[in-house]
Amino acid sequence: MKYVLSGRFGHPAPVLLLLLLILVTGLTESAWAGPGINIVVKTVLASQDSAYADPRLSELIRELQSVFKYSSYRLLSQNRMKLGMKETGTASLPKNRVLKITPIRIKGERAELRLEIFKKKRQIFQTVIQLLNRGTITVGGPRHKGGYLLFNISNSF
Amino acid sequence: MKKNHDKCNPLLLNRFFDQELGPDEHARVSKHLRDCPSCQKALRENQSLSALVADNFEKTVSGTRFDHIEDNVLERIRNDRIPWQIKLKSLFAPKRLLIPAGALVAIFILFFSLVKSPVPVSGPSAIINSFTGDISSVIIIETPESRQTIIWFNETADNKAG
Amino acid sequence: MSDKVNTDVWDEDRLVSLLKEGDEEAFRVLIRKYQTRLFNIAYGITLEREESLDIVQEVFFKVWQNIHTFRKDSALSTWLRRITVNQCLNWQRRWKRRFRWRHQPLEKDEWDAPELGTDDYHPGKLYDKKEIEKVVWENLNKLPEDARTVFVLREAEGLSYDEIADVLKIRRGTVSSRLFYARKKLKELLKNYYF
Ligand SMILES: [Zn+2]
Repeated sequence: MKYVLSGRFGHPAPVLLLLLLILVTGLTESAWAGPGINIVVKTVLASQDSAYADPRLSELIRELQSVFKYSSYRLLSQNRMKLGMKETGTASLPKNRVLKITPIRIKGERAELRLEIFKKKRQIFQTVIQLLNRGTITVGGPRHKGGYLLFNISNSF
Repeated sequence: MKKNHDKCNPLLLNRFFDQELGPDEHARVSKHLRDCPSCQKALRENQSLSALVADNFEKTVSGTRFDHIEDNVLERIRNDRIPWQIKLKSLFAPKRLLIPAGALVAIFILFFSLVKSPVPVSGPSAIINSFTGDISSVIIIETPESRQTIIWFNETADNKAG
Repeated sequence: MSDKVNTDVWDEDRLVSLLKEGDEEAFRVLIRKYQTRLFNIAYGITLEREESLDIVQEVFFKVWQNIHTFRKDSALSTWLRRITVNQCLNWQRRWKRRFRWRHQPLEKDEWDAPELGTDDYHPGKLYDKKEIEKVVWENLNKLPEDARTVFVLREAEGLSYDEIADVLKIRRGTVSSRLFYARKKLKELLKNYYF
């Protein structure tokens, strides 16, 4: 992290002051809890099998191809849910994995979401993210059938 | 092969080939080489290997386009001059450790959210506040064009019992 | 943008001090001077063209971020090579597990079986250049990472043992033995094809 910050901040003092100000003003807004958030979870198997691009994933694939080198992308499942604040939605994933999503709050253009992946009741990881309205995040890593599982999560509110 | 002189010493011969011997050793290997066919052969093989590899590198370089490197790097450099454009990049988290910078990132998030320009919201699709897990590594990537956030994690080795 | 920059007229001291000032022209000179050389190292280690180009870009960007930490106790070229090797090794660690299938076929079985040209496989056959090229890279890939790195620095960059030792922060004796091992191994592997 030191590495990220070692960039070129001209004058640390004013920047800090500004951040403090933002923090204070930001707090007043943060307790706001809105209605529901629409969430779509797409479970995708990415592999090096013979080239295959699921047409339902074309947009996602274009995005992923700039970063990964898989030749095949298959949509395994798709879950839609509408969740209120602090309400947890669950999507079952292959290999006894479960993804839990809990909206925490909406702040401006972003929804704060808690994502947890469990494998047979054991939590593999938990992350809290701020996802842009109509934005998507892809979480990947678990091996599956000679490839890797990707979970593409998008929201709108 | 081994007559009245030194034994073959492949390691020494290798250093001879690379011109990494002092004058005395160099002279000794030269002398040995004169009447050792097997070392002569080894030396020739080194030469052809070297030529072959050099040729390969040359071909690869000549078949590669480098012109975008300069543009890409300079563009990144220019972007980097803007201090608040913080980009999360390949962040390796040790096992079971909350990235301590979480709090810091949060401050930046507040910053981003306050600067809510009504025009297209800049910044990555998702900002990671915190991350914990039983994982061996995690990389946070941003796609170059539309800045979609990708979290890639490696699980720790499976214990089959679990 | 594309006008010719003569990379020779810049002596290293001047280049470094301009780099430290964040001078864009200096970065341009640096990139033109070193891009193919660093690419060779990256390619020799990763054997992936696109990745190597990315790695080289990353190296130059790292230089931008860290040039202020560069001390003159080693040459700029040594520092650049060191960053490149480190970037490659990081890349290997990060991606090798993920892309293992790509390395698997090269690792064993395919090689030993003379199925490469099935019916026209003769030991004495002259393989066409393309095939030899491919075979050289494949076999380079079979070398252990540390031996390959030394070999690449020697053969692609023509570095002396001392320079290699400096880049990799290993002993001169280690350079010598790794290089010896790499050549021995490669000669064995390429025996049918070339020697
Ligand atoms: Zn001999």
